[in-house]
Amino acid sequence: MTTNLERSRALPMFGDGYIPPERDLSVDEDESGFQQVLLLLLRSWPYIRPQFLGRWFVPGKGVEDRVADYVTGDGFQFTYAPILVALVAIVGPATGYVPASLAFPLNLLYIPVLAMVLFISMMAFTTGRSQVVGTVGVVLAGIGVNVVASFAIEGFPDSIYAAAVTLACIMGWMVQFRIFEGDSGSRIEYRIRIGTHLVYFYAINFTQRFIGLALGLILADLLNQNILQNDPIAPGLASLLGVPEWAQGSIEALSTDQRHELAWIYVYLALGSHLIQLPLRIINPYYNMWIMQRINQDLRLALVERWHSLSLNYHSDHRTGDSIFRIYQDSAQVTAVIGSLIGLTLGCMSYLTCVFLVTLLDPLLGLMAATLVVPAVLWSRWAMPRMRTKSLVYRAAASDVTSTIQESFGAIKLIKAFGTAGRTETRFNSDSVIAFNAAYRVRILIALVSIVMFTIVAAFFIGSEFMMALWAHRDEPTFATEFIGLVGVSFVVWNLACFNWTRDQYREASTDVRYILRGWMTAQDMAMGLSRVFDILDIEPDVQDREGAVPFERFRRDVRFDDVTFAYEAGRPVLNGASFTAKPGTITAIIGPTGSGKSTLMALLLRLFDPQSGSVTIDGRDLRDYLVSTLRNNIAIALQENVLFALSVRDNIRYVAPNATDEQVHMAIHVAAMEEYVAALPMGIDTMLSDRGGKLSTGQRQRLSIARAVVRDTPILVLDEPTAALDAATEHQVMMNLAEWARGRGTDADEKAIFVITHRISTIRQADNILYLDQGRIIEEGGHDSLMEIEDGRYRSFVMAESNLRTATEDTDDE
Amino acid sequence: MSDSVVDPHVNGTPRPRPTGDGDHPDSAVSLLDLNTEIDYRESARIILRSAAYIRYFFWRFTAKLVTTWIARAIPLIILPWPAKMLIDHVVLSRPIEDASGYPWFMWPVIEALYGSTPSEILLWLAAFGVTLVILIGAYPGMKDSVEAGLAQGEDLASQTENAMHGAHSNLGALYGYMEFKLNMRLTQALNHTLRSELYSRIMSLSMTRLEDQRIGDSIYRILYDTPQVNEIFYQIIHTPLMTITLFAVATHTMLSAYPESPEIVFAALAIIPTWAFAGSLFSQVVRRRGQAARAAGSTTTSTIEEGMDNVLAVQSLGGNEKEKGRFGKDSGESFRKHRAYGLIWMIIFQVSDFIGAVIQTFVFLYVCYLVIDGAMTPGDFGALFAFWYGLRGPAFELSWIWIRMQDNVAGMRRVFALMDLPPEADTGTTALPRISSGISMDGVGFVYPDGRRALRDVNIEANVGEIVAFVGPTGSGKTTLAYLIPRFHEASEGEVRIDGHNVEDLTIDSMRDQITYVFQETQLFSDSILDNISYGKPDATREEVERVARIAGVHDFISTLPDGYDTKLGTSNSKLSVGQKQRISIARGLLRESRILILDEPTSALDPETEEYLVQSLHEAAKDRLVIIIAHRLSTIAQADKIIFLEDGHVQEQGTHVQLMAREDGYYRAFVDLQTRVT
Repeated sequence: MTTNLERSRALPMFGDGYIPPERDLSVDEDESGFQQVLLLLLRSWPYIRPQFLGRWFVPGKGVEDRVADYVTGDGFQFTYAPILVALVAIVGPATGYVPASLAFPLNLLYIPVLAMVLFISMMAFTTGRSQVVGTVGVVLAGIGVNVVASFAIEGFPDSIYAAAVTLACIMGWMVQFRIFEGDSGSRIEYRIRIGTHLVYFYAINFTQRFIGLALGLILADLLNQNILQNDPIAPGLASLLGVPEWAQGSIEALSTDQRHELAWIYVYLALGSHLIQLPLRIINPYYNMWIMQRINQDLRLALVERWHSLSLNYHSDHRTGDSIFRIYQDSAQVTAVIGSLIGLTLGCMSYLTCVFLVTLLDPLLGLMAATLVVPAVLWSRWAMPRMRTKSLVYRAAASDVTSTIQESFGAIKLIKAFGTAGRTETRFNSDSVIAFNAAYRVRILIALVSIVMFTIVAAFFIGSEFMMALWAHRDEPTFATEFIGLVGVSFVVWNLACFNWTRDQYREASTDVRYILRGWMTAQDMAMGLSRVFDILDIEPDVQDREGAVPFERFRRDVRFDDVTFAYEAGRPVLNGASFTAKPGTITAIIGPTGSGKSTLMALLLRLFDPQSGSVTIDGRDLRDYLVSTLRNNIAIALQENVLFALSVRDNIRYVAPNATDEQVHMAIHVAAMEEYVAALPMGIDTMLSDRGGKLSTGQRQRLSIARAVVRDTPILVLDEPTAALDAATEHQVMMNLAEWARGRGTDADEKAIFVITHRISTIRQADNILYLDQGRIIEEGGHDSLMEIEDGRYRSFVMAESNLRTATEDTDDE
Repeated sequence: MSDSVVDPHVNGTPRPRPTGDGDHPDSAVSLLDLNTEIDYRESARIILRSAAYIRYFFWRFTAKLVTTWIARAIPLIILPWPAKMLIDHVVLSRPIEDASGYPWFMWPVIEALYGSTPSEILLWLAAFGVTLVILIGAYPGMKDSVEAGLAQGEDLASQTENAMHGAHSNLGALYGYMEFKLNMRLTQALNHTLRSELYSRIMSLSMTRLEDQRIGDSIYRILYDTPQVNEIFYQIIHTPLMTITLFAVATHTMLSAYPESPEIVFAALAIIPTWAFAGSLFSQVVRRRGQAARAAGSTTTSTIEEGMDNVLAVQSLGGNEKEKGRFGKDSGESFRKHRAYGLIWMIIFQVSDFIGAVIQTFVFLYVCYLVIDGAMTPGDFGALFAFWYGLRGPAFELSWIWIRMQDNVAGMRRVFALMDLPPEADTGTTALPRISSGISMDGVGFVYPDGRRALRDVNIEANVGEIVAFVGPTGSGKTTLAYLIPRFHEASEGEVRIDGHNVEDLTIDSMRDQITYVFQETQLFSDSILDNISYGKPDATREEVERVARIAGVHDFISTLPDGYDTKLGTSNSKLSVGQKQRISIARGLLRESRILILDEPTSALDPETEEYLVQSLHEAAKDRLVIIIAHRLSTIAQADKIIFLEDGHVQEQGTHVQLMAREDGYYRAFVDLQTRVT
């Protein structure tokens, strides 16, 4: 037994720790580059798309199920939008709400507005590639208009104007119409895009940030220049604060009283805006979480669906714990993709903006800020491949731990019986330590990369800060005095506010570079997680619906196996030219030595696999021409390994027939001869079973799984060793009930074909047809009597071997 | 019947049971996730118990404490001053000789700089800055800190990955790198200790208990609940020490620089009770939501695990859609619970943030007045605010300590609940010597914890050298009876003896070493076939393995596999038929060569030939051991030296086949007749 003290020392106090070489990857084994990572991230788009495009709501018809089109489709259009946009664009300056002038900086506003009108027309009137160009154009021009209105031009009217133009464009995307030519003449149909949650979210977010930024700029100026130092208040600011007279014609300093009052104004503004934003700050992250969880849920479900449709060949090579990890942990990375991509883009934009602003104040400083990119790129070329391989190793190690736990608890009985708990524990400990070591390596790499980057960035920062301090000490003028004057702040010479502001911009640029590098590193890990998800999604299931497959509706004539050959692995056929026919209303017994292919034969009937050659047909149609789901819905099987779920007895019986009535459930219980047993359970039919149906004896579980097959009332029923664990009396009862049930119970029910895999003579005797399998071939076929007539027949010798006991018994009795 | 997730039993929690295997009364109840009410006493108990793990990490923890303290103190105590010097004496060109508002330890520096021009001061500051950047990654106005969080999802499980390896340093560069490494290893070691302890505890639970424990729930608790210990660990010891000392140092420095403005310290002090009070309002709801989110998460894990582990059944029953639906519902529910829990935190943070903002505004006003009235310089404003933030941080941590731990308490409660279940009681004191005679049972009865009676008044004897068959109808108690021998179950009444020793007096290891039990359900591991067979005897030679594989009739099959004995088996082992799996597990049992071999329905899936061969081999083996077979097959039963016929948990008859068949109205005879009747 390991003690806690030993456990606490299992990991090194410092340093890398051991990872076995076969579970490690070297940097040469990295398979992805920049492009692949980007591609992996973008591949999550199908799961993000519904939250972005939303769904169409058609008045009178309700919300459509499918995800809405990117722009237009189905004959719907929004040709009204360009007109609306143009109208809004003209009304603004025409009414004088926004100054009607093309002087700087208004030209910066009107030019992109014009572009928006043009692009939205392209979007509305064309299709295909030019529509895509139009869409991209509208988006870019829209961003431009709003940025100019927010930052380059003072006052609010222009911002509202920009927002109105943008909204008009979005309206075209959201509300569309078509002229519907019906029998009763033409009429106009509308549709409205709803549930575009990501658009809503980012719109709210943008507004919130915009308000915050604008307030921040004003407050910083107010604080630094007017409250802390008694510089004159700028006229624009004064009118904004409602004290225009303080700035009138005065170059003189503010009085102490005025500064006191300004301090109070500052307090009101700061607290007021905080209070207004409070609900948004709660709702916004909640909304984000809601959207991301939906995206994650969609991906999880897609994974589970694909996972369950993969053939058993796949599953036999993979560990359950690994799949759990992929579904839980790896798929969760999808929630970070969009944030990460947007974050990286914004980071780049913010970096460029900062560099631009710094350049305005001093080109040399700007150049220094721009040069930061070079070391960042070089450094990331070293770091990223390492990050990717380490991330994969870590993810694999963590899923190994999950597998180890899952498997050891799955096999707990054996472990207890064999007294191997100690060994299992050792294995868990070593897996756990390896997972910690692998995680350590990933995270240490991140730490190292960020630290080195910080050092580089800080060196640049110190250099520039001291240059600025020197200029400020000398009161030197800034570079682009004219432009800065227009922004409305007082940065014409290097003063304290200018020093602080520029330093903030420069620091922002430095932080952006670090942030981008850090974000890109996280993105590597994200991409590796997603690649493990796509690994599963990319596997084409072996068994798939063929094009034009028809639903299986009714079983009429026969099930026919025609020269069927099948191998799990090439060169080791499990079935080798098996042919037989089974008709409704008959019981077919399949017998033969262990490993002769009996269960595989039935697996082919269920289309769990497709045969390599030959065909399986029902009513003359190849199984591959039926829809898999409808096929499996019409074949019920009671498995040899009686799997029960942690549900009630009733729900276990109704596992795949949730609509079965109580009457049907009771019928099934009757057929499986388990009425007495169920009645004796503490809560009867509603008794909960634990995982894997523990507490039930094998015989009880076997009967429960027969009941589960029977309740589905399908035309074909397969029983794989249904009675092996039943005593003779119970078995006899069950077989009698089954035979009766197969013949149609009453008059209206269809006759059923039953297949039974068994070793029991008494069961075999109830069959109409017996197939004797050996090494994948059906070597004897026929009724009991006809098979018994074959002198050296395998079946005959099998029956003799089983029943010589009786002869022996009789001999004993005679003596 | 609704299959709603709120159904108590679906949450992986057993019903409270009238009797248990020696457990204290509330142990079953304490697993209940539904009972989300935790009172303050229990909460405090869980916190203390988590914190007690410090005893294994004392030195590492102390090292972390010291390094963190330094990392927090330096930016707070030293960094404001170069910044102030830069603004006051370079940008604003005040003569250095007029300097004021510096703490005592800065004065020697200031005095040394007397007479320097602003440019010279600038140079000194630059040199100082570069040194700081290289050593500690910090510089006035720009500071690195080390963390290495990876992207996480919007659910507790994926967020736990970050918590499990959580580490942080408030500085960067060489110092930060070292502290970060130390910290991460400490966190990891703590997690490893707790999770492997929990793993080991669950493994040692009794069989009855384990049958009620869903695997997904165990996975969730071991992987995703245990990391909650970190935060408690750091919060309860680290945070108070750290915050109080930092607070004291910051206060001292500030008062030394601005002896006439202690108001800021008062404001920071005032913030603590305000925050703590606001927080305490939420503590119940945080615990409850945390617990609910975790319970929903572990239900989801259970569902997915169950569906995947039974993929063969799911596919052949056509349950794909059903499984997807089941998982979708549970997963959606767990997301929803997590969202509710997240919302609580968002509200808490925003409320506390607003309270902080209000108090901060008054601090701001106060300092502004001082500056406006000329009592302080604009540089002082920056320095004072730096102090304010320095004080605010610790105040925040201190006041939210309780509420922040509530969520961790919810997780740790789930961990401890499982840890506290009584392990399989190894009451034994005597080591069982090599078994020489056999087993006997005397008046043995067994009642399941839920009150169902399985066995009554069983009196049997079975000796080394015999093959004994347990026979009887389905559900007659054969397996239960066999379970009593290696003490998988403990007899409720009567005595089970091996060589005359009551099994309850024998140590479990010494006993199970000599008893091999081959279960009805075969369980193979995703290892090679060789490893699977030699599972109970890892040092077995290849020859030994092949020998038992031949006896079990599986050697020929294995030889046809491309990789032979080294063929890897996956989880669902679909490469093998059930019969083949059964033979492998028989081989595994045979290889141990223990004195007692119990085969539970070993031959049900075997064809007659294999079975015949196996039974003969068993006869061979039975010469120096006791073989117990539970079987329905007459051909197997008839060859036993003794047949014990059970019905309704009671031994109705025992004797040889011939003896029992001789009884005209015998149970056994009726049983045999039914089976061989050729109608």
